[in-house]
Amino acid sequence: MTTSQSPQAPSADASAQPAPAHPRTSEARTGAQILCEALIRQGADTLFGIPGGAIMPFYHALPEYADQLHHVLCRHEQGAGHAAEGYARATGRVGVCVATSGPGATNLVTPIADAWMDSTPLVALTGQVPSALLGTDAFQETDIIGITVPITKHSFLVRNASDIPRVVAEAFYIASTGRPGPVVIDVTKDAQQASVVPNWDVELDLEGYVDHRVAAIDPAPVRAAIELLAQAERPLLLVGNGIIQSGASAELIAFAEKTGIPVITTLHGLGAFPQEHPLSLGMPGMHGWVHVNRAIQRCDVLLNVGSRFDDRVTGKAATFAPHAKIIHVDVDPSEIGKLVQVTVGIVGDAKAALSALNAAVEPRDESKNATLKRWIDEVHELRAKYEPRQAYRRRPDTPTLQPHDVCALLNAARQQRGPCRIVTDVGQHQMWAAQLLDWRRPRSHLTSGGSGTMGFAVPAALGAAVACPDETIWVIVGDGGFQMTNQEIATMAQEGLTNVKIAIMNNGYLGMVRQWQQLFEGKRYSGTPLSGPDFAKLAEAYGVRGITVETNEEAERAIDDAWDTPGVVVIDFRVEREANVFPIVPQGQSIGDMLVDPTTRAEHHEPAGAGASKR
Amino acid sequence: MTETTPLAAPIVRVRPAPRKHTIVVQLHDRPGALYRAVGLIRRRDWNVASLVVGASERPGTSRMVLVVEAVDVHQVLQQLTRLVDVVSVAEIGRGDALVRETALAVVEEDGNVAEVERVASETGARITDRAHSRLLLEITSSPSKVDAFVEAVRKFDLKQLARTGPIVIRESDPDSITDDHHAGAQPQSAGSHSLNSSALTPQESAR
Ligand SMILES: Cc1ncc(C[n+]2csc(CCOP(=O)(O)OP(=O)(O)O)c2C)c(N)n1
Ligand SMILES: [Mg+2]
Repeated sequence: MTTSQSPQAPSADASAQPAPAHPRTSEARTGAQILCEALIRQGADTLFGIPGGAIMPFYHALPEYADQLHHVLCRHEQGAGHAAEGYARATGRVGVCVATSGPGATNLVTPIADAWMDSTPLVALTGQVPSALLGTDAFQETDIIGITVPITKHSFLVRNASDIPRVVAEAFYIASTGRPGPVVIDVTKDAQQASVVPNWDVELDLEGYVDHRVAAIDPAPVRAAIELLAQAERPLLLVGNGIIQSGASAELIAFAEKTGIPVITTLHGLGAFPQEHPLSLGMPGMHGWVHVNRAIQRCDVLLNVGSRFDDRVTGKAATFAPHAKIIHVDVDPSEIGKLVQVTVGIVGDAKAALSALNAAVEPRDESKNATLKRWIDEVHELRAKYEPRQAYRRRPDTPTLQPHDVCALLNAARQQRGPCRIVTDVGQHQMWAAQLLDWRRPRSHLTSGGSGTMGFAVPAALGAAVACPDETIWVIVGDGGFQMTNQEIATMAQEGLTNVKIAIMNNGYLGMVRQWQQLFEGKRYSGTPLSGPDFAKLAEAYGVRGITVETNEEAERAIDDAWDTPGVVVIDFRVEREANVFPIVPQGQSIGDMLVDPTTRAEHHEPAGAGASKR
Repeated sequence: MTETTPLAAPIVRVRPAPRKHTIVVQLHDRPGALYRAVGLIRRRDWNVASLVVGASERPGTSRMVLVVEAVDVHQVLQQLTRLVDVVSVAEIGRGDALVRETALAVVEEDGNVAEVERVASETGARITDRAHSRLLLEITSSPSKVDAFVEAVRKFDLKQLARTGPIVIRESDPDSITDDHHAGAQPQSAGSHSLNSSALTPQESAR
């Protein structure tokens, strides 16, 4: 496939913006200037980065384009990368981060890996040593392309300024189409300095690259899927990131309502289907609800749209959904049949596939209603029995502030304050937030899922806050993850951002690891007790507001206060130190075998008849 | 809980044993293209029996022939297809392609030239050079004949041996799964695309 740059090539997101025409099309200019113009032509408006020797020519050119390209100076390249991810996930547009060669580029490796695992459209622009020095172990020379091969969709080494227009167009196209992902553009210093007349009329040279989002949906598997669903007595819909990435929530709701099939949402699917919808069941997997995992283990047809059977969802794959025929819709053909054998695979964009399914499916027929109702009642009974959120209710014997209470308070405040986005880090707090907040809107829940990158939340919130200046961005982060990347608060202060509120669930532990040590390793707390600075004072040192909270009453007041303060606020919630996330499926086990909170319930095992835990 | 809907027996999913597969990949001659393909093979933990890369009929592209031992060859094909620089990927089934391999061997004749010559003619090899008491043998044939040749020359005092690994050509252009975007994705339509059907075995099996 050789795709011309227009009209198909630029990402939909880029074309949504008016392409700013640059006046001087026929003048020679530096590669660095051409880079800036190429980024603008792709619809980029914000860059997150840190300069250095090999990328200095680019930074030299930047001020000239300051009205169209806003550069956010981060405090660590990891922060720049996560900020670009936060920008991308909040908006669906390509996030751009910039770093110099060597250590600047290697600091981007973690966010690039994170974007790869969560299919986030990201372009990482790195400076490289002059081409004459390539391969000589020159000062700050690192083979960043070689290092990132396993975690990028593609990468480009640019040695000639004249290649920049094509390369940047291809990079944005690859990053944002098909299954989105990160692309690295490594530009030698001499290519940035060379002076050429750019040719913008370039063809993308991407034969062999297929954008499965725009390909027509094959009707044969759609028919097969409809047939399977028609015969199903206990059907279930499993949805994930693909719904959010393709903007398919309306089609999903229509399909669920037309068929009456209940919906479960993965961590990255939270918000894809409104939680208060009567057909919404909640989150599956390692920290999913008992009734959801149980429904998976009992369903007879499982329709997965846009999630990839991650092991945190399936538990032991061999015992996952043992009674189900599986239909899998994915934009990436390699995901179909990769981890779980499927009966029907549909390759394509979630929105297009759901539209095709919607068009083909008959509305729920009355004779089927009774069977389906019995199934839904069965799941609801189980939900009532395990009272998911109630299991976390405040107990009289625990006077300290409970992390669950903080989540409940935040949730309540959010209902009154209107829409906001919530960025979570990685650990116990991430799971409590996923379980205990109401997720109603796509892209309102940003987290690091596939990679589980501690340190994601604060910089990702920076990116989301820059992208959505009119919305409040709440961060829910552990004391461990906060101490990894909190320096980006300085960036927020320098940017004059007022819309970020940071809730630290300070339990004095690397809590999630501590929980595993408590449950599975006889309380051997090795390497998990954690101290830290006074976070409120640290916030003040950054020039933002800091509040310390120890009781429920203070918590409620602090949340309101944060919302009313026109500035970044850090709240240090001193929560119960050894609270745990329940339920939990021990790693590598069947999702039919869940541990529920021992203080309220006994272990929950799938009854033998269900067959799940037997193999 | 009222278990009103009795469950049928669980579905048993069997993974077949790994088999050897020959895969032909056409890829752009661009920096990093080969590195990406080879990195993918290493990362996904497939067992590679041989890997040959060389020119193809199309300037600017190479042909890579890969013999890989895998349970799920469909996954191998799909992952290779994902690479941006890969133009086409196809699995070669038995009998639908010409497969050739070259081997070179240096043996010390030990006063037994006649025996070496006999082995050479029996296995279809040529003696292409002689220096002092050393003979250079050369064979280009099917991999199984090259196997037989290698086994035969091991009886002598074998000083050096080199094998290329198989290269493959088909009279018609190898079927490409890259043009067929849903190739193999839905086992039910397995017959509708051009992939060798053995590529789909893992998906077709259980359900
Ligand atoms: C960069 C990184 N290092 C280590 C881990 C392993 N890890 C997962 S959760 C966790 C503990 C997180 O502690 P904290 O941020 O305090 O959150 P909590 O679990 O206490 O809520 C650790 C160390 C990780 N996911 N990421
Ligand atoms: Mg902690």
